[in-house]
Amino acid sequence: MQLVAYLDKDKFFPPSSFVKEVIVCLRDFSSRPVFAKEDLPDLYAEAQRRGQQLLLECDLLFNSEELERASAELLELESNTDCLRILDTGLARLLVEQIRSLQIDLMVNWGNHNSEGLLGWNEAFGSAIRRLILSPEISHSMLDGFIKKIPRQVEIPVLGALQVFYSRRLLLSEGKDDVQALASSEESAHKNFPFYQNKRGTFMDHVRDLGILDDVVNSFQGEQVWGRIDLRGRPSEVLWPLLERFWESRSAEDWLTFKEQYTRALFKGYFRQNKSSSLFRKLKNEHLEKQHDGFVGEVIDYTKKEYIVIKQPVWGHHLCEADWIEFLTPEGKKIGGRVRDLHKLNGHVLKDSEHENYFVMKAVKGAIVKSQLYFTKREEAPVVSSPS
Amino acid sequence: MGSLLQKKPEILSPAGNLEKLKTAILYGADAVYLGGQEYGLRSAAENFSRIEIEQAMEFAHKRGRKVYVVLNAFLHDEDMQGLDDFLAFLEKSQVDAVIVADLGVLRQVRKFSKIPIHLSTQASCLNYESALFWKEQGVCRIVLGRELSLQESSQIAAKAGLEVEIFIHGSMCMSYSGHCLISNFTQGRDSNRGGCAQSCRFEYSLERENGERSQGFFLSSKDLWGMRALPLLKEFPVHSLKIEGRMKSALYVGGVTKAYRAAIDLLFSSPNLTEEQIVHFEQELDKSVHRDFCTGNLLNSAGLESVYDERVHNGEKSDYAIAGMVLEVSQETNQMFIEVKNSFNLGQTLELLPFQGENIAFQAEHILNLIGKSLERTKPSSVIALPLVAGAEAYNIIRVRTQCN
Repeated sequence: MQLVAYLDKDKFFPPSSFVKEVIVCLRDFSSRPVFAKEDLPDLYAEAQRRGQQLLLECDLLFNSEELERASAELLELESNTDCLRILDTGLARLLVEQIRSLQIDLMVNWGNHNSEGLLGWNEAFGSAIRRLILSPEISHSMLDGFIKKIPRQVEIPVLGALQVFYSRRLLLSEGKDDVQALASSEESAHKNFPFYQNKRGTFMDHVRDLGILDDVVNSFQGEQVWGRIDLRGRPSEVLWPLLERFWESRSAEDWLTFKEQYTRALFKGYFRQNKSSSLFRKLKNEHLEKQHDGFVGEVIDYTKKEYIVIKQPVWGHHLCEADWIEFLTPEGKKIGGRVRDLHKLNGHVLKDSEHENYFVMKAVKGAIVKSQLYFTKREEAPVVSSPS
Repeated sequence: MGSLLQKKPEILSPAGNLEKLKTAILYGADAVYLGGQEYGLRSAAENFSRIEIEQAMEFAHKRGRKVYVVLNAFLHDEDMQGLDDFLAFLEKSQVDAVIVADLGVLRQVRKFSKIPIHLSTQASCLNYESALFWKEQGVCRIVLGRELSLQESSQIAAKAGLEVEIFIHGSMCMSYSGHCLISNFTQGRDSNRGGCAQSCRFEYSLERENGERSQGFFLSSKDLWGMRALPLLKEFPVHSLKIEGRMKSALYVGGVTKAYRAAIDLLFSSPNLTEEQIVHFEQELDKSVHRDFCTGNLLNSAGLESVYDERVHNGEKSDYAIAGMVLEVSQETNQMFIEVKNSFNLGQTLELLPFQGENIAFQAEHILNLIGKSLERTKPSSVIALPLVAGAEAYNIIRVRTQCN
């Protein structure tokens, strides 16, 4: 794995011995701007002197009018960078159209969790893409799968703030001045979400920083996988030497020493395992999922000891008087019974429920509203032999 | 693509289940969007089984209406399993389009079917270059981000040569759609795979860097209400107006669809909508459950007025509730049979919403259950009989006022 890191306003460059590239965030182009456009030439010169590549990040979305302005300005700034990092698909397309030789790092970090999609981005932009910047929701095993299929550099966040929300609206104040705040809700176990607003919108970070550098340090050899470090707002002069020591030793002790000096709590996010699939499945009430085999309909009225009303879809299994049936209640309980007193809503007696959207029958104890009704079996009428 | 000028935009309504789909179509939707059991963003919604999708197609196509199926989750590799089979089923069922956000899903759709593809708003397409990119990927319509004005949306349609669809009514994400991971990283529920926990609706205490403290719902957006933007459609045409709300009630679906249907029909058969007409339609919209309203970004950039910033109730509300839905009418017994959704009393004034035209107020007299017993008060989840109101039809909504002035 190779490392890339953000530059903070103190202009402290991380050691070039292990951080090969630095990212600059400028006002008007970044959710967390640190520098003005005028700073860029000096920063670029310093990066060149140190043997590091300088990348200019634009992690914002634009409407059509803003897009043209942003494109023009970025093309002016491009000569003082080694590569542009672009989130907006339209902006990426426009830049690549304007400079055919341009290579960009494409930020596909909101969504894009499958290899088919990543291959799609790669094919759509072709050689104009140097690197795909991936989502923080990618797990180790997902990344393993992606790098085998995608013939491009990929990048994941490995240490630092984790942005979880991006709104165009200015939510903290009416004015366009930069505002920062901490937000907490009694309805959430997490407290003090960092919010920051600038004229480009409002952004929110997770309450904890992502810290998976110790997980990946020995995992990915070569130059295909890049890890991104964001120490903006953290005591970088203290932390970078500790990180350098950890990178060289790759020891658990040095990682622990680093963590002790880190000013915020770290967490692993989804990197070790993406659990959202299994967690979410539990939200569904499987008893409400219809099994179509023998499904008749759903109880929409249960009048105790009197009757029930069934709503029957067109494909519902038709019922006749005396058919054996079974109800599946919303709690998953199964109740058997037989069809009695089959009739229409207006009271007309039915021979069977065919052609009816709704029908009424004698109540079966416990077959409450939202219970599903299934046909079980029909007993053939006994053959009555004619008198000889 | 023909000229959009003077062409009525499509009204696209949500269909959370088959009943709501029929309601939407009967109340005037040109098209509906629905989700299957997987691949959509409303996993908690009832959604449609394959048989129900077939029924939906039959019902809609018989009436010349369209059905779009949402496949707008951001899928992981393992979620892709079975997608090819589902696409083959959708193609065989002749769905009119699928709505997709993920480039991987889009490529699968193109690989396994010839179903037209609409780009979901989850992809946050906000400019014509982005629209052109997605057009190159095979998309024929783009559901633009709710951050754009009607004018900007119309310009993208013209410049990119694509159909564009905009949201005209309903709940709004505070973030750019698809750019919120709060639910994922705080509750383990992937909002982009249908598990949004709606953390934005929570009340938050806020401490600014200058020490100022406040309390409020500053992440909670007011609902979009686009009635006032409709007159601009003649100057800034778009192809489709989308009503949000697959999780919402039949009253919402029917009431809101009916209001926009009538407003669009009136707008395109007269020079313009008058203020009086707009107010009338807004009053109708007000009778469906909603949060406070704003015009979002349709006319101007949404400012703090679009956000619940103060310590106020931010829940959904309405002075009206759905009393029930007409299941069947019997000319023989001169009765209509109602599935009761909310209680009402004998003698209470109810309002029947015909599919077109003025609503009909009537009194709930002679409420009977299905064995002919008179009722003083109905209970939810029951079926009752009322004397037939002239013009009543199956799927008509009956509403009741819950608040008195």
